[in-house]
Amino acid sequence: MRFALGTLVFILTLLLHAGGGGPACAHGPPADGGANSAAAVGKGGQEHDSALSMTDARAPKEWVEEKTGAYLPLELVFRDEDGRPLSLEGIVDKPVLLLPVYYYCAGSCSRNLANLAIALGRLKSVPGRDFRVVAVSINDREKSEDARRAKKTFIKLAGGKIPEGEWRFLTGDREAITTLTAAIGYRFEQQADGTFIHPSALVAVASDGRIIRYVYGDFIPGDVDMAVYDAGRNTPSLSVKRLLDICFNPDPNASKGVVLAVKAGVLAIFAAFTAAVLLLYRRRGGRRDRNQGVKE
Amino acid sequence: MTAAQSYLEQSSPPGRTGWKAWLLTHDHKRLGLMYLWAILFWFVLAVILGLLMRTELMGMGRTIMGPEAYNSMFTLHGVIMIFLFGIPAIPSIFGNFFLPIQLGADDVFFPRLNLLSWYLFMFGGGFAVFSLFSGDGFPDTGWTFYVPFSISSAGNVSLTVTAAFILGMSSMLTGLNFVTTFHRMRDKAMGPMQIPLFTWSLYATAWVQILATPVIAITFVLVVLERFLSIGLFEPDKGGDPLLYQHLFWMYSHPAVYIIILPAMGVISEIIPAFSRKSIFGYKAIVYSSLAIAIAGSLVWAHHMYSSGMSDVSVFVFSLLTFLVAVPSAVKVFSWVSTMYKGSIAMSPPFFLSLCFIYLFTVGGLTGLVLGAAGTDIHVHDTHFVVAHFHFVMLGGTGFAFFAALHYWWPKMFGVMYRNRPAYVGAVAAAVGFVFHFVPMLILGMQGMPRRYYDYLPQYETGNFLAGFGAYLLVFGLLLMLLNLVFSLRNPRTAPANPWGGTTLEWSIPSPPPVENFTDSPNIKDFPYDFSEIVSNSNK
Repeated sequence: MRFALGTLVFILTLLLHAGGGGPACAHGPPADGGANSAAAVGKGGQEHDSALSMTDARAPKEWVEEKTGAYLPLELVFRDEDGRPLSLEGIVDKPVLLLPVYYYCAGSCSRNLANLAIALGRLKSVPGRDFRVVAVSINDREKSEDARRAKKTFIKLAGGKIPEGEWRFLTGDREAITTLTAAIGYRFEQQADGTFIHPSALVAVASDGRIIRYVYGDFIPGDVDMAVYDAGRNTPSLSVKRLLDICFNPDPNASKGVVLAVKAGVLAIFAAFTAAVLLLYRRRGGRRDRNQGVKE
Repeated sequence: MTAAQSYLEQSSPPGRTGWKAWLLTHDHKRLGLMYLWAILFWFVLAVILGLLMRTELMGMGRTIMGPEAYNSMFTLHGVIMIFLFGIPAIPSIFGNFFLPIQLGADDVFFPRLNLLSWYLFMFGGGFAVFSLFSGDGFPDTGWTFYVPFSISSAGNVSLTVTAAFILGMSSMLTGLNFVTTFHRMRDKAMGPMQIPLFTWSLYATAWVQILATPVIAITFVLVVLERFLSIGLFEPDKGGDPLLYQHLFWMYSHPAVYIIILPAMGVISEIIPAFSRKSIFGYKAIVYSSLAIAIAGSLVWAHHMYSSGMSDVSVFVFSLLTFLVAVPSAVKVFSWVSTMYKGSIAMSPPFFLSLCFIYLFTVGGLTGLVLGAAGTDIHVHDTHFVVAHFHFVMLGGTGFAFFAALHYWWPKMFGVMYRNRPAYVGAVAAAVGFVFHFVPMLILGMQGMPRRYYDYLPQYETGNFLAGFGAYLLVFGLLLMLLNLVFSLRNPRTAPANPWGGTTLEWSIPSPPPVENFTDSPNIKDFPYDFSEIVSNSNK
């Protein structure tokens, strides 16, 4: 009876949750998304603009809250690889692939940059002619020298598929970074060891600064091509692969105790199971012996 | 034996009539039929969804649906085909019906639990569809429900994973029933090496169902807890690890592929010798390869996570184990082909469909090698090549084996023969349509067309347009085969007890079988595929 009641309560809770309530949905992206809801998303974006920051506790739960159809604040000024100020307006004059990373990253940023560099050589669209790539550091402590070093590495990896001037590596101050990441709905958090937890995603932007599409994960050529194609047509579109990768720097030693406890628990369960099986067999064996004794 | 005594006429437990005789039945055969109708419903629904998607892709841009509808459709198509067709189809329908008979038993070990499994299956399926139309709609997470998106998504993730939880429970109970029946209900005269290969494959599958399903069930509970209570187990900013979710998810979901394919291999191992009039080549090798696939297949889950950030040692170990799984699969294909060699082949619809299986499954396996090797995978990763490969294995493999099983055992299940000509036409149309549908997709994938998009770049239009015709031909063939079978019930031609010359126990009892399966004690042969009697009878 109690079990049935518990099950009923559980199902009712689920149904209530499905009805739109529940904390997880509070900041959820609009379910319809996509081109037709671009205006609504843009409005949502304005609503959250002030709420997003690196450390703000009220920040949305999503690592990426898609703001497809909204516009980038093009007046923002960053520094280029030579330390010169550069406004976004100056580089968003054709479709742009905007990639928030940091250059000294212990996690997947380097892999993502490398994936993108390799993908550039396999696209149907032509890097430099059809679009430009802009990597922006989310670490306000990184300097132009770091950006310059990263540029040297990844331009080389791209193997001449993109002209140097068409892949920019920017750094900026905290305010510019948080304003830009808030505008694209991108959340990140700095850890005590100075590394960041952040999602792996790039944003395709049209030549007028309109956010067109989010691309997640490994940046395979097909995904990047579709994003560039839509950015060229200035048609905001729904992202299709939201298997979000999170870049973070785990410390295995920090949870050593938990892992040991789990191992001990698993061993204890197996030991108990084996003991139970042995005991059961011994008892059955004894009973059989007794039965045989009676028969004889 | 008269027809009145068949399980279709007499209820179990006795005395129940009308709908009660079906909805409260303990008879494994009736439950098999109840699964059949439910699973066919889901299959046809998912096929229609697939056809709508292909129709959308036949022209560039938006034709019949937008990106949101397309996203929901491919998720729903995948969820139904995996959880409501692929996993349950062969074990729940043909396993329920034939496993006890092939073992010489009168029912499964837990008949009531068997009924509960069916109700859980129906309830779980209904729940999954309910989650589509209620609240914020179907989850846009894909069938993997990867964290962190599944934790924060506004879609109905909680309801859908609960549905998957319930379906998992159903699958687990079926597996439990099979293992216990195998050990406790088997005829005393039947030793391990006298058990038919279909039953062996179900036994290996059942262990995977029992051991792997709880892992995904617990994982889904954790996702629900994350969504409601934010316990932080998978959230890196709370000290959790999203990779942990991926490990737990694939620990079930990779073996699930073997839950889908192993019983299909069992079906083929039954059909090939029956129509070659020749003992199966390498019986023991097939038995051990089934067990080896179940064991090795349970240890390779992390090959889905090579790019998620694992240590090199882990990648090496999981890669090695993955290549090992190919060995027992190849053993089976070799055995089937060797069985046919110098056999006295009698062509029939189930045999033709089995040949299609071998051909399509082999192509699926070979394209799998392209994906399994990291060097070539880079070029086709997440493209239509992957979709085509997966369908070669799942539809070309399990799907065709399912239809082969339907045509092989239909006379036994219903006691009626179907018409051969429409069955052949349907099977040929399905096979040709399949190739014309999925080969262009392999090519499109190699050209770089990404999967999951409702739209594509202009250079992919011709390939997609042509693939659409293949899809229509494929669906025509599948529906023709199904309709031919269903119409055979309306205008019945009585089936003999052993229309194909099979040697396993189900062919020694009347068609359809009596409630208790065996009226006399079953005659257990020394070897289940001994055709000497069949061949000498046909020579007379």
